[in-house]
Parts: sequence; C-alpha cells; structure tokens
Amino acid sequence: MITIKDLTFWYSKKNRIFENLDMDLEPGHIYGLLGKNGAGKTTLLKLMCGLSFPKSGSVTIDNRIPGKREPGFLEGVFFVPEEISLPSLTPQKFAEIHGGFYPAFDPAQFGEFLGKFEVNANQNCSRMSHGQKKKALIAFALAVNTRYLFLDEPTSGMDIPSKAAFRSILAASFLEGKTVILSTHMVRDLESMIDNVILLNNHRIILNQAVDQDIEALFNASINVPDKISTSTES
Amino acid sequence: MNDTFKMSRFRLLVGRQWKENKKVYFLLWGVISLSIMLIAVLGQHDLDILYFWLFWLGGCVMIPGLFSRWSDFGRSSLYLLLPASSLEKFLCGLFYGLLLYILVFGLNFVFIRYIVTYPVILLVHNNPVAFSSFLGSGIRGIASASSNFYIFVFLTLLFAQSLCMITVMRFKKRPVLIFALILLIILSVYNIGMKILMSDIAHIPAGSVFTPGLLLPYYNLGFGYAYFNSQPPILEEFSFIGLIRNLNNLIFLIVFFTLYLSTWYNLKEREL
Repeated sequence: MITIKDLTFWYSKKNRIFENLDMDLEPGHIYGLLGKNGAGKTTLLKLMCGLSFPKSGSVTIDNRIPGKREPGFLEGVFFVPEEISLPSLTPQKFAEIHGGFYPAFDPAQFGEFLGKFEVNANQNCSRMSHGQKKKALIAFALAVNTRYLFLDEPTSGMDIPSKAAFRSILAASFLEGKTVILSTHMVRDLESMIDNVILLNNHRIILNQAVDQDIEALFNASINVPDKISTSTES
Repeated sequence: MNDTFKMSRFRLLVGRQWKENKKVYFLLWGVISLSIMLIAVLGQHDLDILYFWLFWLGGCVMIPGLFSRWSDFGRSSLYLLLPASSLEKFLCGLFYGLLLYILVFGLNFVFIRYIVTYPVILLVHNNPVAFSSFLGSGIRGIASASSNFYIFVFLTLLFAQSLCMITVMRFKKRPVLIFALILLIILSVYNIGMKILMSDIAHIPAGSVFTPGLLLPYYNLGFGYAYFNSQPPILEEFSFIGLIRNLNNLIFLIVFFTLYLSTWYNLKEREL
C-alpha cells in the first residue's frame, strides 16, 4: 500500500509543487495519474519510487521509505521514465544484465512481450527509435514482475498499433496484488485500462476515486481550467 | 534481507559494469598501451614521468563512467533504482576505478615494456628472456626503489580520482571542466604554499629553482616538491624533509578519504 501523508515538495521554495498532500493507494489497481503539463505527475512518481525526497511529510510503500532506496524495496519497484535512454546493448543483453537484480524476472515473458511489441531482441538499442526503446523498456518493466510499477507517459512516442499492444500486454500481465500507476495527459490512450483515477491540479489531488464514468468527462468536470488537458490520441 | 552489502548483488553490479562499458574500457586500454609503447620506444629516461602522467590521467578518465551520466535522466534513474545498495554501487566503482585499474595498468606496463625490449635483448645478448623473469626483475626493481615514490604516485591517483568522483557526482553539467579547474586551483595553492613554506624554513642555496613535484619526477622534498641546484644533492641535510613528507601524506590521505566518503554520501542522497 502506498501512503502519502502531509507531503510538501518544491524545486524552488517560491514554486511549490505539492502542499500538504494526503493520499492512500490500495494495491491491486491500475491508477491513472492525470493532470496538465507541470501539474506534478512526474514529480509524484519520482517521490513514490525514491528518486526525489519529500521536503516535509512522508511517502511510504508497504511501510518502507522509498528515498532510502534499499535493495529490498527496489526489488519490488520499477519506474519507466518518459525520457528513455538505454545503454548500447541489445534488449536481450540488457535483460540478461539487469534481470538478475529482480527475483521475479521472467526471461520467457520478456521475449513474449518484445514479440508482441515487434521489437527485435537482438538489435542494438543505440540503433532503435525512441518508441522502440520505450517498448523494449516497458517489456522489461512488465517482465520483472515487481509489485509496484510506475509508468510516466508510457504511450508517448508510440504508434497506434503499439499503443494497442501496450494495453493488451499490461492487461494480460496484471496480477492480483500488483499496483500500476501510470501518468498521462492523453486520457483516451489509456482510459480503457485505468480503474482508479487521480487528478492533480494546483499543488493538490482534486480527485482520487474509482472510475465509474467516462474519464474524460470526469476530468473535464473536475478540473475547471480553460486549458484542458489533451485527450487526443497521437498517431 | 541484507540491505547494506550482499556479495551476489555486488557480483551482478560488477558484471553489469563490465558488460555496459567494455568498449570504453578496451578503448582506454588500447590508448594507454599505445602510449606506453611510444614512450618505451622513444626510450629516454627523461620521459619516465610520462608514465606517471598516463597512469594518473587514465585513472581519472575512468571515473565519469563508473557511476552514471547524471545529465541523462533516463540512464541515471535506471542506475539509482537498480536494486543494489549505494555502498555496493560505490564499491563497484572503486573496484573498477582503483583495484582493477592499478592491476591492469601495472601488468600492461610490464608486458608492453617486455615486448618493446625483447627484440633488443635478443639482438644484443642473443639470449631470450622469459616474461616471468622480466616480471620478476620488474617487481624486484619496484621493491628496491624508494617507497616514497610509490606512495606519492598512489596518493596522487587517489586524490585526483576522489576529486573527480565528487565533481562528477555534484555537477551535472561540464563536470570534467569543473574538475580540471578545481584541480588547477588546488595545485596552484598547494605549490605556492609549499614554496613559501620551504623558502621560510629551509635554507635552500641561492640559485635553486623550485619545481612543482606533480610536473616532474622529483619527489624528494616534501610531497611531490623538489628543487634543482647545480650543486650536488644536499637533500639529506634537511632533517625536516621526512616530517614534511609525512605531513603531506597525511593531509592527502585525509582529503581523499573525506572525498570518498562524500562521494558515497552523495550517491546515497542523490535526487533526480
């Protein structure tokens, strides 16, 4: 379970990203973290996986503090950033090197996901497009079978068939007890798979509830700002 | 679970470091080997200091690749979230940057010198020398030489590497340039300070020329500090030389140890 208590965070004191944020996230759900550009989606993901530390308040995951970055905690967490950069290796080699760090890594599953994404396991990542690299890392992220998976704008840079493949792979690999949090500003890409939605606006969470209606409508009704988030599906 | 150090995780880290960076390491090894060969072929005793510079520079060039490219969010997030402790990641860096580097450089040095000198030995003496006996004579040479020189070489490497490590860790942009600037400032202050100190307390004969020890292979006076005089060596006259040398060694030990600790702490507390 992810527990956020009284969280305050800023990069510069004048510009606070979060102020006294409180939130509990139950395991076993796919959460959609929505908000405008600059709302703090990536920052919240970074705080939850331990790449940034709260200025005050706390973030805990299963009673562990992510900022300590203890191996026991990191074995259960995987973060896929929006901006992907991989070493000059093939996905196969990358998985051989990094897979050993994750006890639940399944190489066969990784190969299967790469196949579904139509990514060549033996092509060097340095010669791949951004979208291909992203698919390779997402395939790895899903194959390590961590309890918590954080995906920052997972479908950005993907073509339409890849987005469809992503949805089907994520749905197929989602197991009970697992928690997936994906941030996006392209609601339509992912609305079919999100079962809980978290809306960020003006330094706080304005909505955190199960999806029982159209996410786009929910978002538009909840966030009363003129520059609504994009709901386009990129091609 | 042991969250501080586990040998199996350390082995994985060492393997990962090698597989991700082997091209760079081979390239560095090639450049160093070629440089040693060139210096050995030119073969003048005056060029011996170039070996020291090569050793020193090679050791620093390795540092930025030991942890992560901090300006690259994708790579650094992958690195920081890799399930291993910051101590294991730091020790993995030291394993490659220090232990393996010194070992490989040393063996490479002896091997290339052997390759270069072997034909000469064969031509002149018509008596082939086995590599093992060449290595043995090299080790005997090291053992019989002044230990001060090896302490000097080792400490300067540790100091430069630790400074490079902390610079790379602290500065996202242009860490190499910043490292060079900081090093230049430290060396300048150190050398000016030493010059003043030595002028005040040592009655150095007129006509002596001070030389910063980091630029020349003379290391007798103080830590890497020397002077030239046309007179025969008079270094033994100064009883405080040993004291200054030890004091210098101690200062450098404290500095590099502090910088190493800071590097580890920065790795642990690193935010993206």
